[in-house]
Amino acid sequence: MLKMKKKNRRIKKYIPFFNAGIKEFLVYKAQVYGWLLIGIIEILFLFFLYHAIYKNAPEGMNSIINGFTFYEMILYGATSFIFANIVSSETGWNIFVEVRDGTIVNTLTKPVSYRLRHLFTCFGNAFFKICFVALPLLVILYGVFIGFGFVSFEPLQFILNVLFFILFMFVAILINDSVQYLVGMLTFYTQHMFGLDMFITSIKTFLSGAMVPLAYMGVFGVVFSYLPFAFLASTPILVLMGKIEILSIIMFLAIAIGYEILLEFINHLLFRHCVKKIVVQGG
Amino acid sequence: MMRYIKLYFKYAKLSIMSKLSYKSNTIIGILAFLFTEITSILTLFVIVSQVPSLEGWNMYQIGLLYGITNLAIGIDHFFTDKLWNVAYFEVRSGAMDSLFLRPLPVLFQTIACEIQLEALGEILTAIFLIVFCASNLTLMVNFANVLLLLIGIICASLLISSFKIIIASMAFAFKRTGPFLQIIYNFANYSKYPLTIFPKIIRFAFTFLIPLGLCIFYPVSNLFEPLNLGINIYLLMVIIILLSIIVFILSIFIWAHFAKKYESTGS
Repeated sequence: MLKMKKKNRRIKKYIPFFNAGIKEFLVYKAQVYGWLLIGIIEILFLFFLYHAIYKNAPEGMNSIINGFTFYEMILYGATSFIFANIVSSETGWNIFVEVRDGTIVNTLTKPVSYRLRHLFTCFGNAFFKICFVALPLLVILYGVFIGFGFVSFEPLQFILNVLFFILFMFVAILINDSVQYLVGMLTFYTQHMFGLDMFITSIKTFLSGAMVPLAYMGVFGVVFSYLPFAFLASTPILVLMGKIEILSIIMFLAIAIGYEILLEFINHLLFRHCVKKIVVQGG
Repeated sequence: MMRYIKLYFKYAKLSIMSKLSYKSNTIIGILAFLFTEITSILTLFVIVSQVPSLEGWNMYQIGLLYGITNLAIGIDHFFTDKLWNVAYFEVRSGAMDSLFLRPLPVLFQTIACEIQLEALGEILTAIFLIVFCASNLTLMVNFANVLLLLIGIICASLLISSFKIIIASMAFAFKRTGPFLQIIYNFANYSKYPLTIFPKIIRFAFTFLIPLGLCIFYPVSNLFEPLNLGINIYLLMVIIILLSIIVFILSIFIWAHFAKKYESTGS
């Protein structure tokens, strides 16, 4: 009982960071509208691009390219855009700002875990994005695609897909935040974020299948699907679209959790090394 | 005019010197852009390779169009990257105060004070892609076609910069217009594909409203087969030049209008 109370108290002190994450996002409501507008334009252009691809394919608009019909491709692209927003994390940039300004010292002297503080801020952000942005958009998107008969799912199978998708979404948020934390740690050495972030973002975008399904990349795609980046887009989306069998889903989930544990272990070691490197200007 | 040219080079020299004092950061930045472009090109080839041709354009032709559009974007990026900061952060943080206090046009200082060396990654990849694709194509190379292409690239860069100036200047009134700048970039990204894959309304937009298609798509198409626009090729050059200069002048007026609304943060 006493142990439970202690544990609750330990978690409780991170709740303000979770709330701060939500507030941070609420302040930038305009950003959401901007993002939505960009999304609509992106999906519109994606529609025209794939329309041209399928129209020029040997069997025309009824072609199935790498296991995807035309509408499935559009659904994949749109889901990918929304999913990228859910899992996005500012942790790397937040750490960089703290390192650059020297405010990291204030944080380190407080009796809270540096890692958990950033993780809970990321959760707060994600919670808001899921509830108020991603969930309504996904419901509308899948509602329209299923309602108009562009795609079809077995009802029970689809519910199962959604449940697994939620699990994968949670793991994806964790993995992405761990990668961001790792990048943030690297800024202790580089004192620079922009290039590093761009580097990681382009790797993530390409290897995660966010731009184009990994199935389009042949044998390379198969290899990429086992890398941690695949869990940031391809695998969760394919799970939701019912493109992965149940046994493979469980296997991928285990691999994803394994990667997350490994990343956290690396982060832990790196943090211990980084703390010794902190240089704060006296200003 | 000479004073401004001299000052521009002084500002540019200072910017390059300050960037080179953090060599590792600059190198990481250049490599990051290089890598980003490589992954974008790979994505393009992965998509386009699924079909023998896209509305009559083969993979090398699309690659050439993609490379030339990227070159125009890269040139703009090299010279006017500071506008991103204005649209996202600098108006909000009050960092523009110092520029308003100096006896020089704010727009001139904003553009001159940053040369973005990281854009070299973008420009180098674009040049490589252009050379690679062109060597695999039979092109109609003559003086007029090459001149049209060069004018198209320079004017497309100027147009992108002008749209950036317009959107960034609105931050003086609305504090943060970065996401809208992103929209312009997204438009520019899709002008890397043949205009013929889009419906008429988008073709119209890319030809007349955001005339990147006019500057790049038609000059590139002209390298494969003579244009059938019903106008002389030299007249097309004049239209492209005039249009980009008009949009550029308009952007300067819009900047001047919104700059009057700038408020210091007082900090």
